[in-house]
Amino acid sequence: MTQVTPNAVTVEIVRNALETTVAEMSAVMLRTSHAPIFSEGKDYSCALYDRDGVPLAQAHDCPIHLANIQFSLQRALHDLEEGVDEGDIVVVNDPYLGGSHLPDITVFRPICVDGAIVLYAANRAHHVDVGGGAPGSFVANATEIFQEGLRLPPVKLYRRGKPNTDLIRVILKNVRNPDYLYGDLHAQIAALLHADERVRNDLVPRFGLDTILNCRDAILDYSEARMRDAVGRLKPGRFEASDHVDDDGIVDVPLEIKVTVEATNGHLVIDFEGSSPQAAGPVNSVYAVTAGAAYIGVLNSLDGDIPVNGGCYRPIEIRAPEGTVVNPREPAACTAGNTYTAIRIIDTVRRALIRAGAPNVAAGEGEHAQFLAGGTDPASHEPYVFYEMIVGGWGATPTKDGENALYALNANCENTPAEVFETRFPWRIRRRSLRPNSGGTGLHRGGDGMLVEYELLRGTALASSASDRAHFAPYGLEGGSPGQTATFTLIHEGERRGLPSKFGNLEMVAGDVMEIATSGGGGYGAPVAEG
Amino acid sequence: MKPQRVGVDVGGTFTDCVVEWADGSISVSKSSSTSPQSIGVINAAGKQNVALKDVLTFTHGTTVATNALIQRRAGPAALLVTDGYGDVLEIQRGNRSRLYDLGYEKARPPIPREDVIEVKERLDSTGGVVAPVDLTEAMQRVEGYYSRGYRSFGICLLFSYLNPSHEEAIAKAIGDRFPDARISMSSRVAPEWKEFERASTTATNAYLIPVVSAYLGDLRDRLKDSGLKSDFFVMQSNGGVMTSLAAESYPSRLVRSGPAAGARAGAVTAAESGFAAALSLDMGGTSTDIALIDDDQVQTRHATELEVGMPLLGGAVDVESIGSGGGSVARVDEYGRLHVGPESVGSLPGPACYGRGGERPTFVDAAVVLGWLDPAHPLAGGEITIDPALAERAVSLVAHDLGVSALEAAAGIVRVGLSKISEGAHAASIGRGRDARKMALVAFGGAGPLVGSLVARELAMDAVAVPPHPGAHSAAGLLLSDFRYDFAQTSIRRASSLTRPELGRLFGDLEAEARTLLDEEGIDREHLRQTRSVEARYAGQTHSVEVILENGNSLDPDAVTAAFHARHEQLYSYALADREVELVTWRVTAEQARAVATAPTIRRTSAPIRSTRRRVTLRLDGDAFAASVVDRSQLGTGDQIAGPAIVTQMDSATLLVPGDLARVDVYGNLVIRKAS
Repeated sequence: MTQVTPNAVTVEIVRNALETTVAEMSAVMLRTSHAPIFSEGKDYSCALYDRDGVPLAQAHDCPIHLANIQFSLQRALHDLEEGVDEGDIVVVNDPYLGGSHLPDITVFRPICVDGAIVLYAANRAHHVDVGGGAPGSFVANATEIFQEGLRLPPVKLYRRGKPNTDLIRVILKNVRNPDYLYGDLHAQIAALLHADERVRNDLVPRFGLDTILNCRDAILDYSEARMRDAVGRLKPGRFEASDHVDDDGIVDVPLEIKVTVEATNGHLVIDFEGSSPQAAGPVNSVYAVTAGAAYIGVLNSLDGDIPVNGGCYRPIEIRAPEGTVVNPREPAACTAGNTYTAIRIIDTVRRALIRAGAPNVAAGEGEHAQFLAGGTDPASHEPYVFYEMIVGGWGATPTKDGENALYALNANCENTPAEVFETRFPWRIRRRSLRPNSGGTGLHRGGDGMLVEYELLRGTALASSASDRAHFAPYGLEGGSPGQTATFTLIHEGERRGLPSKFGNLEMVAGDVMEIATSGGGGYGAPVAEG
Repeated sequence: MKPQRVGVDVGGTFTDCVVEWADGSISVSKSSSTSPQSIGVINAAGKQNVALKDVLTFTHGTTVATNALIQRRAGPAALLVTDGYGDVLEIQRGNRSRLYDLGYEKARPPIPREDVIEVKERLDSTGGVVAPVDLTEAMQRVEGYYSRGYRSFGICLLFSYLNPSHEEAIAKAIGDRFPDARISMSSRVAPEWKEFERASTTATNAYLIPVVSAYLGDLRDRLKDSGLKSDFFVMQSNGGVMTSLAAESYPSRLVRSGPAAGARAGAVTAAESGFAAALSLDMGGTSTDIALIDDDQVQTRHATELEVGMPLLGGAVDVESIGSGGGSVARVDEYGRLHVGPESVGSLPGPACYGRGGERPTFVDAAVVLGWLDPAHPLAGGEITIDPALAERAVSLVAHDLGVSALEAAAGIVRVGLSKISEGAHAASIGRGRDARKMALVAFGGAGPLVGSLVARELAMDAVAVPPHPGAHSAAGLLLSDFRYDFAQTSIRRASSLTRPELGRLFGDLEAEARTLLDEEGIDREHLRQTRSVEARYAGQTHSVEVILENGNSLDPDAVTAAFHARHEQLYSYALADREVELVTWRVTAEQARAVATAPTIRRTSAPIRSTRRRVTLRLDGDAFAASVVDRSQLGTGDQIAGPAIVTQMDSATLLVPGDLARVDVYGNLVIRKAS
């Protein structure tokens, strides 16, 4: 068969169809999801991949998912000895097999035409709880992945169209909130089925399979060319940056993230040599997370308008030495690696790229804190778990102040409304405000973080925090000052007790209040003297 | 002859006026929009020699609310919120509309932080009082704003949708002290849960009141001076109308009224042509609005978002807006990628072929190069003539960059533009769980009839209906809309413990509210149609699905539960029959028909169609066809035209592709099907 290069028109039409398909997947997920973190929080992502697992089109979802689902998919295709058949759905969450952290469950399904796999539909969603040593599966003092919850290598959730009920029963027995998980898994499956239908019954009949596959190359090549040019405009030479995660929750020692970038002939190497050895606690960022975070840093710094797909990543090489906090060996604990360590990697890569002359510049980001708690509501006798993300402020840029209260660059979730939260859980959110003056000062100010007070109304609860930026503040640039660091305070019978950014299974009793103040963004430029 | 009904729709460029006369005939005019819009409204009626004293109903579609909000040129207004939540409009939901943009800017709240007042009070999640409302302190703050000229106040307190007493106490205190203050209570404007969405809606309403009430008051005076005897009506986002007096209190309900009028008109055309399910496709200069019509009803949603971070609760026509229109610019970037839109040339200079100084190639220019528009027929009632040489020159820019001929480039531009519209149509139908193959496409707007047949083919749709006056169809929608008011109440119940009397009370309260409002507005309730629906979900889900209930069994808990499972299955291809169902938000939509349907107005012609008067060359998919040009004004009921052909008229042109057979129905709609 001769390869026909599709013309520019056909490529655009196929691109439009692929992009609508992933947007529709995302809409199906939203409308069928159960848990607030999933449906209100929109902590999930949908995308389409070619038969090698290379991303082709992604929905407007969560950047860190979108950047690293490909690693799970590619690894699973490599590892599944029996192969993948039509009608199969594979489920996986193992961070050491391309995953991010255990609560992120990925499912994918081959899309087949005449018995041959032509594309994969995949999505990843953050589930409220996947078992392990703390409600919400953020186990602040975990030292091994075995303490962090149920671990799934790539296995068949559906085999040739039939559900693997044994597996589903095992999964549901290992989580604290099986109803949520079951419902949300259904939502994930519904999105896959929608994509499958759409491609087989609409795209293929309309365009022809060969045309779609030929356009694949053009779509990837286009994004690659733009990325290569953007990389080519960086300064020659090696540029370094370094920042820190406060501690690992076990040992009070900072962990360094060290980045060296070097662009040569349109090829960008991002090297994490010199980063701290892997930590005892769960701050370790597995390779897929580190690579995904680095990609996000590059896209933000160089060109945020490139259509994001596997082509963008071709010019980028990630080097993360094994045994470090950015590429741990199993069985290191790693749940929080996908949260603040990922955010820190993005910020550090951005800083190195700023030094290399990147066109898009902003000071360090304040970041969202993660507060989790669970217990049994004495009024209903029903167990509950919640996972709250409390956002920080963004860094200032050379032209404007940083925005207040936005999810950090790794995420794009939505906070849970207080009215939904209080209806569902025996808690009250007494205050949900901005944290005044938490952004760094400067010619342009950093954005403010938030100040939130959670009061437990009934019973007792076990609370955890998987947060950071309590010691190392988001950096300012060009004379702007850093943002304020985060604080965590337990108010018990009127007495305030400062807490570290990471704590686990802290017992709270009715009347206790957890006050969380998130970090503000760094400022940009020296402040203009008053008056 | 006396005019019966008048609809005036104001757009960015033109003010369209549709008049229905005593004999049932319809006339249409276009004139330039004015500032203020009210002058243009009066002018438009004058242009058709309408004696306003004889008019029975006068309906207006206005962009005053939309524009004031987009440009943030309304207010001032202050917002009172629960203590600890003063930043609710700034915090929003923390999400953003662009994933990789360090310079991202959140939507600017309609009411800035310094105009938000925190009130000491608190309700819990059952509506119980945790802390009573501190009226003294609240009123001190309100007085400060009043003394600085603020006359519009919004109130949005936590859980007020369960217990409005705190909001009502504040409203009463303000009203007693300052009788001329306008108050927007969230428990009235949008009594639904989720505090940011409710606060955003309430703030927007309060913010718009000063501008919209001044505008509507001014227009009311002008219409009255010109002889109009009754109150006039205003189009809402939900596809229905309300009295202009009600609109002064609820201006947030006008923000998406533009697309709503078009969708409403599309539904009427679909019903006339005998299609219960349809997509309305309104293609203008910069964008295309696509809406789903099912069971003769325009599908609505319960919230809309003008921009990310600025949601509005309340019924709104569910429109898929695509950044692809007649004026969408085509360009080739440095990597050889062909872009069509979202950038648009706007009404000035417009597409290159209009000869108003535009040089950039647009969708319309490509269509002209392909022969889809006949240069012998000016557009917009003669205001615009088409110069094919200018179109070709513009399209040649793209041709050069792609290394192809102008004809090939033009074909490419329209295919890319069309693919975006087809994808939008897909998302609006199949993406929402409906089968497009059994639907008609109602194509209108200046450019809709040009693409209707091609889009319908792409989705294998059954037929295309082009209304008599496609360019002014939104204005026609104003004539055809009924009163519509939406009532909602969030009250979470489990299906297993729900009883018939409880259901009766939930819906009964909303229906009583509907009757009271209609009576207050002086609206006759003779043909009142009330639709009950409930937003339901599986216990544990947060996102709910709307289930429209048959009035016959809407009080039967088992039937309600069964209807939810069926709806879930229809939308998502699965249902969890053994799971508990939660019912969240109860809704009643009250619609009151304003007038009986118009009698068919198009005469049957006996004369043969003079279609072969002109022949042009039409290009489609690389092939050239000799096409006839037919003047639509010469067509009567029962006339048939076979494609390829162009049907021209004052405000649009309809493209018939080879294999199409179009027939004029008794309402004057051009109904296009594949020739069998």
